[in-house]
Order: sequence, then structure tokens, then C-alpha cells
Amino acid sequence: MPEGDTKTITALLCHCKDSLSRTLDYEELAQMLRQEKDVKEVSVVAGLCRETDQASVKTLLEGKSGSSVLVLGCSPKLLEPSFRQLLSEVGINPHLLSVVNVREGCVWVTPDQGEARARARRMLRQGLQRVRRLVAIEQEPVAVSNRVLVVGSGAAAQEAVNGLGEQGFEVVTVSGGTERVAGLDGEVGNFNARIRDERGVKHECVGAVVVATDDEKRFAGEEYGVEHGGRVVGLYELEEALAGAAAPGAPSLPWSEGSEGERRIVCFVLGLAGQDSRLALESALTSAHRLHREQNAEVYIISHEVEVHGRGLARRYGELRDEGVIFFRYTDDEPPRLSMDNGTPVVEVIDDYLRQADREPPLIRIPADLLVLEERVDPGPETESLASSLRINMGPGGFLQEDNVYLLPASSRRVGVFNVGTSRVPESEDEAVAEARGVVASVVELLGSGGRPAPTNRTEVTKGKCTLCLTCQRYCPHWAITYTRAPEIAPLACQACGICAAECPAVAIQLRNFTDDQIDTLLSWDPRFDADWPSPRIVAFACEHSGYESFDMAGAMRLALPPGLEIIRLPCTGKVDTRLILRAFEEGADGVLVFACHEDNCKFLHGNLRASKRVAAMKEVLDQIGVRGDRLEIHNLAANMGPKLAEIANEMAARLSEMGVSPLKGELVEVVEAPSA
Amino acid sequence: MTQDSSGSGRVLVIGGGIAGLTSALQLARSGQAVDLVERDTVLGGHAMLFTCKATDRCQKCTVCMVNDRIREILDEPLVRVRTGQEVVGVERADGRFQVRLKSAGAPVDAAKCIACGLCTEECPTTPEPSISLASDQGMPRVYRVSEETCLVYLGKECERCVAVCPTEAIAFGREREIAEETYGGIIVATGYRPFAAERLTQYGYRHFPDVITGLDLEMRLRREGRLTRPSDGSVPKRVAFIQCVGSRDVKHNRYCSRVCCAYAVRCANKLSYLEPESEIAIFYMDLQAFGKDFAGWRDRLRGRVRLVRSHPAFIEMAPEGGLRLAYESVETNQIDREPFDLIVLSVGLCPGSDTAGLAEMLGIGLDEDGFLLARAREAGGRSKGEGRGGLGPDETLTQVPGLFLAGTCQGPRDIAGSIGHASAAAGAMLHHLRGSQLVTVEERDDDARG
Repeated sequence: MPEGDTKTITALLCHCKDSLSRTLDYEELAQMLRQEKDVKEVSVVAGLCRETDQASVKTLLEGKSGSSVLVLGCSPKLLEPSFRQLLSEVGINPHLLSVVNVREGCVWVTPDQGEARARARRMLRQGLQRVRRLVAIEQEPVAVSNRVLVVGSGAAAQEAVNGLGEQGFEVVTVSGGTERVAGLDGEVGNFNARIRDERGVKHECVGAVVVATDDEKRFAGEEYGVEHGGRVVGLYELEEALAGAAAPGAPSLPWSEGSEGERRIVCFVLGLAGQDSRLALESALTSAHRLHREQNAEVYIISHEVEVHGRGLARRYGELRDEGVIFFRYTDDEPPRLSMDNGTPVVEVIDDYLRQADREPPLIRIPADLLVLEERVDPGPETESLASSLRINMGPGGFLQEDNVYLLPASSRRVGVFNVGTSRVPESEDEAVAEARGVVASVVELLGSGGRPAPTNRTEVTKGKCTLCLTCQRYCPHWAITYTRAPEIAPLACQACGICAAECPAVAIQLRNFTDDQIDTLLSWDPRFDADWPSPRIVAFACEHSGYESFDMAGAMRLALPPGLEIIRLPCTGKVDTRLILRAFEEGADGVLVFACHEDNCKFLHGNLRASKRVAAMKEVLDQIGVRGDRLEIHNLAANMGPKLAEIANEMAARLSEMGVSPLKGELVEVVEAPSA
Repeated sequence: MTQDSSGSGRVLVIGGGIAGLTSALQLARSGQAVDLVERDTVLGGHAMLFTCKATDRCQKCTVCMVNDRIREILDEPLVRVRTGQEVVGVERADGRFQVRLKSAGAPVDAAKCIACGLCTEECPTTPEPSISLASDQGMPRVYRVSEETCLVYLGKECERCVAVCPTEAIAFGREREIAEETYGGIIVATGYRPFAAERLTQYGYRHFPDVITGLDLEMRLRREGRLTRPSDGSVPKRVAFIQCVGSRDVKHNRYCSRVCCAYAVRCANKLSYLEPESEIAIFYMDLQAFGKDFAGWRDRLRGRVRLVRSHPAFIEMAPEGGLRLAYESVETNQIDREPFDLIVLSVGLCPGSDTAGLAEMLGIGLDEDGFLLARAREAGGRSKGEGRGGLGPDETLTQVPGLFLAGTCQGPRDIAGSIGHASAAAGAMLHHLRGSQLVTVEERDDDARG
């Protein structure tokens, strides 16, 4: 019994101005649908993507608010957005739409007409099964707090505070000192922040959190043999001192105590910590310019690379070099040696450009009146405990924000918690302030004006099945699941990836419109209809962010794909569980492919890794039951790798052809036929 | 809190690359209606030509984000996408912008084309048809005529595609239609132009088929999934990258293009992953750091990709055939001539070809490198004297209130940087609209009537 809401189905078959009907038999396809009782209307149309045709479709659908819509035509990437909008306009829930992609997904990738027709027939039946079971997903406003917590006290934090205030938010700040964020419960829109200071803990309800703490610059000369003080100073420290020295009455710099009339030597050493030294170069150029031009110092700037990838830096570097500032570059293997000789700092360096064949490279020895060392740039001191209180992760170097491109520019894995400025990457104040301005837009985007429409019934938890094992909470990448007596899934935080549903050992969670039953229907095999499906039969589970994008690209490029390939589009491969894989084999697949995103590139952070683990486990099971583990593969694809997808699928098809049909295929036929016999 | 689109009017975003897509999406999701205008037939910009640099794991090149943004923007009802159109006039009056838009006059009408492909089958030019899908992934999915090979553009009789097109979407010599719109603000995200490598004649780009640019490499990897030589289709065993082609060069662009080290290193890493036996060298002046996790890159390349600190002198053809790269070698103290199967010129980013005209039309200046001029943020940041929520100036702001810059039109930056910049521009726009809402003419009139 279908679980869908709908009693009737309206079907639209588009032949793309006869270009598809040269291959496919639209009369046959329409006839298939007309035999189904619940299909009330079957229309063959010429160009569904065009506004004129959509207008006539709109007339057709008006007054059919009890109907679901099945569309056969081109890629869902093209048809879904405009159709969802159209359905909303005529009062049909936009989720009650199933698109059968016979253009990019069939005709364009299947050169043989007979095979293309067989594929189209099965794809249409799958689409019909799917549309019958679709349920409406309703949007309802979720009440959200218009208060925002800003953590930090620097320029970026200040910008966020002002910008958020401007947009009508009430801002709560934790600006350091004795104040700390001790914890963050609840979910986006209605976080409960625990803030601790010397008087105790207070609770603040906030809709979102912006972390804009500062990084920490630390003199690390001891690691290289020189101590701070006297004639050894930090780079940023010098820049500030020079800026201050311009003020009347400022104390003199340590190095100016040398004998009168002599030309002082200043030596900058950058890049020893192996960090991006763009900001360091900028500071060095600023100070070098002053010392060289205003104080006639002899200036050396020694760095691993001259990192000019900042605004105007290449030009300033060239000008300073022309003026006589001397630059040396050292290599990985031979960093400069720093030492003290009777209170005089000494730098010894081998310049990469002065190397010569068959000769020891010249060692340049610079006794300096002032040695200026780039500070090491570390995350702010509280970063780790802050990350743990906010339940977000750190990325490279211990800065906030994991290195995942889906989190750009300022998101964290926890929806509603943002990180900007030097809390996430060492950068200039200008850049940090710009990021803070961007995050204001992100908060407006998230919290709207006090209420935010969110899908309220996207997931379904069967309380009777739930054993309160907390597995779903542990695997949710977004902290969207909380517990009282049963798991509750926060509608604004949930991104509908389906990882929880796949992980739940009690099968208590279902992701609506990707429920186990709904996917099983797509996998189901009926020899009465499907006998002419081309062999080998490959079921591919594809993430809609990568695998399906690449599948669509292969279609647009008209690359030939194995005719027996069927694609099942999922929100994330984190939804592919072992049961689903086994089910595909039970239903007669000769091979199963999982097209997941690359590691570190999952929109849901670890859905691809979960899929990978399950595939590894299932390969062993398949070996044990004699199906063979190499009938199952997982491949990492980006969104733009159509040719690679074609290569993988065709190789798999060739290998499966050699291996012969899956041993489970025969068994299935017996099982299906046994009861009726 | 959200912007009332009827109050402050629609916002115009010029340019449908990663920056324009990001700004438009963020504004729309904040409740602001947006027109996204793109001169090209499809959305996506340069990033839609690039390849994924992943090995067995993501290398954070961020190219795939353009797919993500396009998917989301097509599903966003507050964004009206207008491809194949360009801005030809901007007048500022009463704090709003009167903008004249012109259709770019492409023979294929995107509103009618259904991408059925019948025209391609009919096109007589060989080996490649002159009309083909505009992009493998850029949206909308429509066809495009190549002005270089199409017989009509060569002054010959043809128009067979016009006759076969079932939707009458193709017409040559189409009248350019002009539309006028009023906007409450503009974000300029018109992108960049790659440096024209043929200007450095010593490298023989376009003379030697196996000398390609970084952009060519990206496109080849994207289309083929692996790298082959243009000359004979073989897989190159020895590949060289030359950095700073057109960048950090007193004769051409003095600035560092900021992206070339990143794409060369990531591509070299990918090539070495695809063909572990290949010998890859990067010739560079200074390796510029990139990404959040740059520190580990040198170790990852060690033993697989040779880093050579040298700016090569020229490329020549060896007497026995094959390319040779001439560079000063510290191994021999002289000019070495090393054979390579394929040489990649890491070209940098230049201001878009019509940036000067655009700047004049918008009433803003150009910086010393020819990019659109931002109002520089003053040292020390926001001055205390500025009003409630007043914004300190920075690289998204211009001299013209309500006009903001996003992405590479303002200066070289990578995709991640463009996303951040575009987000900041959206934030600046929201701030602007909040302020200007109080003074828009419509609202004043509405109040008077009310």
C-alpha cells in the first residue's frame, strides 16, 4: 500500500520538440500510464522547459490540488526548479513532483535505440512508483530569537555588533576578560548559551552565535636561538613601535643607542614557522620603508618566499628593492641560523639565487643592530575550549572552521554558529571586518524577521522503535538532534542528509521522500516488465551534490554510459546503508556503485565517510555469501567529473560482464515466483 | 529585519560568476529581490571551465562551489536570472539607479532554446559543429554559435540551424533589445580576463601546440578527466609549469595574481596522482601560500613534483623534435635546455576587457593595476565619529553609495576569496538598503497618500 498522500496522478511526457520521440515511443509510454487507475491525466507535450508550455501546463494543473505530478523529460536540474514554483502557484505541494530524466539520463547516453526504449520504460515505472509514494512536506514558520551572541572584542567583533544592531538584532556580547562561553545547548533560532564570569553562570537565549575572537601573535625567537629584548624584537611589535615613535615624546628604539653617525643594520627574518607570511611581508615592508628612508638604515629582509600575494605588495616589494633594501631567500633545507655575538644578533643565511655549481654556496653573515623576527601566529588562547563549548570543530593549525569548502565563508558545522576573522584564519583587520559584514547577511538569511519558514515534517521518528541509544545524535553532523524522551530533530538545524536514518540501528528514523520503502520501490525488480533491461544491471547511488551532477554532466556531454546503469539520486551518500546495498543485490543488481563526494568535500561533513565504511563492511559480507565483494564499489567524485563517472561505470560494466550475472539474481526470481506458483 | 523588496526596490547584481552568484543568493535569502544579469549565455563564469583538483581527497580548490551556487540560485524565487544581457547605461537619481540593459544579441534565444540538439546535427562545419551546447554544466542549458567557425559569420550562405530549430530560437542579425529597470543598489561582479599568453613571445604560445595556459589545462582536465597532449593525444610524461606568466612583470602586470601558485601546485599534484610515473616541475620565483592548510603542501609534493626557483628564458623546438625549456640552472651555472612533453604557462588574472568603460559608466575609478577602484579602508579602521552602525570603508565599497564590488573585478582573488568578498558585498548592500529605505521616493509618496 503506497504511503503517499495522493489519490491521483497527473503525468506530463515531454518529447523535447520531437527530438526524443525519434528514439523513444511516446505512444507506448503514454499507454503504459493510461493503464494505471490512479493516473488521471496523461499529456504528451513538446517543450516543458519553455514558459509558453508551462503556462498551458499551469492551466492543466489548476484545481488539481489533490494530485501529484509525474514529469518525463529532461534533467531534474532543469525541470525541478521551475516546476516546483509552478506547483506552488497552483496549490500543489512542490514535493509531490517526480521527474523522469529520459533525455540527459537515457537518450543522450544510450546510443542503441532498443536499449534506450527499455531503459525509458523502466525509468517511467520507477517514476510512477516514486510519485505514488511521495508525501507533502509542509513549511511552517519556526519562532526564532532575534538576539545574537557575538564572542570577541576586536575590530571584526565590533563590526558584527554594529552591523547586527543595524539590522534590528539585539546583540549579546562576550568580549573576554573573565567572561567565557561555557556551553551552548538547543539549536539555531533558540540556542541557550551559558555564559560564565566571576559572579557565576547566566543563561542567554540567542538565535545565532558569531565568533570573532582574535589570533595571538607570539615571539618565538627562543626556538631559533635568540631571546627577546635589547636588539631583538618582534615584527609586529616593531611596526607598532615605529608608528608610536612618530608621536612626539615617544621613547627611542633600542637599536638607536649605537654610536652616532654610523649606518645601522636592520635584519628582518620571516617565515621560520612555515606559515603564510603575506601579512608579515606587508608589515616588514612598512617598517623597512620607514627605517630605510627616514633613518637611512641598511635593511635586509630574509624570507623563505617573498609572499607578495596581497594588495599592492608586489609593487611595494619592487619599489623597496629598487631603493636598496636587500632581499635574501633561503630554502627549506637550509633556514637561516640566528645567534648572539656579544650582545649583537647575527644572522647567517644562504641565498637560493646565489648558488653555483661545484662550489659551496656563499654563507652571508649579517651582524645586525636590530634583528626583527616574525612572530608565530597562533589561534587565540581560548579557541580550543570555545570550540568545545560551542560544539564546533577546529581546522588546520587549531584555528576554527574545518577545512571544508561548503563552510565558506563563515559557517561551522553547527548551523547558526559562525566564525569570522582571525578566529578562523590569520588575516588582516580589513579582511576580518569585511568577513564580519558578510556574516551579518548570513544571520539575516538564517533568522529572518523573527520567524523562519522551515520544513516541519522532513524526518519521522517512530518512538516505539527508538531505544534511546543516542547513535543518531552522535552521527548528526549538525547537532540537530536532541533528546527528551525520544530524539527530537530541530527543523532549522536539520539539513536532511539522512545520515541519522542510515545509522539508526533500530530503523526508527526515516527521511521523508527518501524512506526505506520509497527507495526499495525504485530498486524493485519485476521480471514481467523488466526482463528487457540491458545487462549487466548496475545500481548507482549518487549524491545529488556530486555524483548526480556528474551524471548530468555526462549526459550533457552525450558520453555513452552502460545501458544497464540506473541512478538513484540521494541527498547524501550518508543515506546509503548496508540494508539498502543488500536490497539492491536481492533485487537482482549485478553490481552496485556508490558515487560519493571526495573526503573533506561532503556538504554534511562525513556522510561520504560513513558510506565508505559501510561499503567496506558490505564488501566482506558479499564475499562471504558468494556474491563477491568486487561487485560493489564506492568512488569519490566532484560535481564536475562527468567523464570520470562514465569511465568508472563503463569499466564496472565490462568487469561485470566478465563475471556474469549475480548469483542472487536467480534466487530472486524463484522467490518472487514461488508464492504465485 | 528582512528587506522589503517593494520598498527599496530590486537589487542588480552584474555578473553570474561565483562572486555574483554568491552575492545574489545571499541577498535573496535575506529577503531581497535580485536581478542577476550575465552577459554570457550561461551562469557560472570562469569557475565553470575549471577542473576539480581532488586526488583521492578534496584539495580545497573550491571549483565545485559554482555548481552548488547555481543549483541553489535556480531554486530561489527572489532571484530573476537574466543571461545574455549586458548593462549599457547607469544613471543615478534620488538614490536609485536607472539601468539600461541590452540583450547581447546572440543568435540563439535562450528563452526559446530547449537544448534539443537538432541544430548541432544539422550544422555543416567540420570537424566540430559551429553550434553546440554553450556549457556542459553552466545554466541554463542552451546552445551557442561559435563566431569563429560559423559560416554565417564568415559571410557565407547557410542558416541550416535556423531552418531546423523546432522552437524558432535561432536568428542571425538579431536586433538588440533594450530594457530599462530601476534598482535600489548594484553589486558589480564582472570578473576578470586571463592574461593573453601570446604576448610573451619567448614562450611560443599558439605556435607550439604543446605549450598551453593554465586555463587550457583546467579545461582539458575537466573535459577529459586526464591530461593529453594537444599535438598527438598522448599522455605527457614530462610536464613543466612556468609561474608568473604576465604577473610580477614590469613589462606587463606588476601585481601578483594570487591564484597561479595555487592552481599550478594543485594541478601538478593531481597530474602526479593520475600518472604517478610522470615527471613534473614547477618553475617559480616565490611560491605564494594558499588555502587554510598550506603548511603541509611542500611535504606532500616532495619526491613527486620538482620545485625549481628559476624564471625560464624561452621555449624552443629541439632539432630532433619536442619542446625544450631554457632556464638558468644552479646545477650547471648556465642556461640548461631541458626537454618537456608539455609546458603549462601559469597565466594570471587581468582586469576584464571593458573595465575602463564599465568604470566610467558606473562613475567610479580604476586602481593603478586597472581593476575597479574600491574605497580603501583607512588605517585604524572605523573612526569613532561615524554614526550608529556606520560602516568602515573597505574593498567592497566604492565612491558611489549603493554601488558595491564583489570578486575579481576589484582585484585578483581565488574562488574562496571571491566567495568571502561577495558575502561582504551582500552585507554592505543590506546595510545600504536599510538606510536608504527611509528616503526612497515611493515610500515618501506612499506616506503622503496614506
